[in-house]
Amino acid sequence: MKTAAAVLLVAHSGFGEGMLAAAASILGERPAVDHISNQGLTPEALGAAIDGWLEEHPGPALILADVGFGSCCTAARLVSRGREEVGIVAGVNLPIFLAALRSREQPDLASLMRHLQERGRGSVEVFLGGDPL
Amino acid sequence: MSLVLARIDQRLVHGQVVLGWLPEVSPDRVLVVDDDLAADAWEADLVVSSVPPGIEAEVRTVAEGAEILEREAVRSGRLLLLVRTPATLRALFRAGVVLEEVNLGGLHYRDGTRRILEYVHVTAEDLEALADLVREGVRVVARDVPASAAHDLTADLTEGRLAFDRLPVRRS
Repeated sequence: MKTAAAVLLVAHSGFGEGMLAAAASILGERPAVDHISNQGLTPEALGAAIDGWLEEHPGPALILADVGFGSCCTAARLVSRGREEVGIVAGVNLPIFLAALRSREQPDLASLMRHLQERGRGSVEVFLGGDPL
Repeated sequence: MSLVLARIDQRLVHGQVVLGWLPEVSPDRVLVVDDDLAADAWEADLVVSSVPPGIEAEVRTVAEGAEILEREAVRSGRLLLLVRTPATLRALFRAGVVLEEVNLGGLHYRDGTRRILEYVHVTAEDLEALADLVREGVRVVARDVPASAAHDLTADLTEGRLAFDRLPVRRS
């Protein structure tokens, strides 16, 4: 079974658009992922935008948020309260985003999220003077 | 505890606060005052969970917040106060909380608001609450993050230059 989760990117300012542009430059095509920016939005308006997207995408949905303590993740958590079919992964970077696009083989939403969490942790590499630290 | 920052911000605890104001004013404790939020333990926990470890955080009603602020005034430490609306801060002031300066953060556009700054859109009620605070001697300074310019609105509020009907409806 595959996880046919719809994916939404919710992030500060132009981060989402930049992430999509970066992914497109790597993949050769713009990913079919919607994004919502919090720019100029009240918490209520941001929540309404996320809720509207969820209504249009019934079934498993994965929300990728930029930072866990930020308004984007907070709005997503409020909107997804009690909705077991909605998962949130916060702290998204480009490796996580790319993995989310290519990891639909996971059996369920929770497995997909744990997979992305692992990929995110593993994607952080450090180099000092050009060599791995 | 000394009140190191009293901030009005619709988003309460979020990026600008966590990465901007907390390092700037180094509070030991964050007190969020909001009657609606305090009535919902799940939402209150969500807000508290966004505050970094090592800083105490809690969500309280106006009545509880006023009591805490009065009690904590005699203790050592640094306290950051967060509210969502000017009316909440005015309610705290009227309940006896001593305020010298208010930091006006994000009040984003919604129906019925007029624009003061890019990140400050107010209803007539918001403006009235801010004007009431200014009349009581409280300074109102808009500043979304520590690195940005401060806009002292005190004189404009005092002298009526921020009349609601003369403010632009949206972004200029």
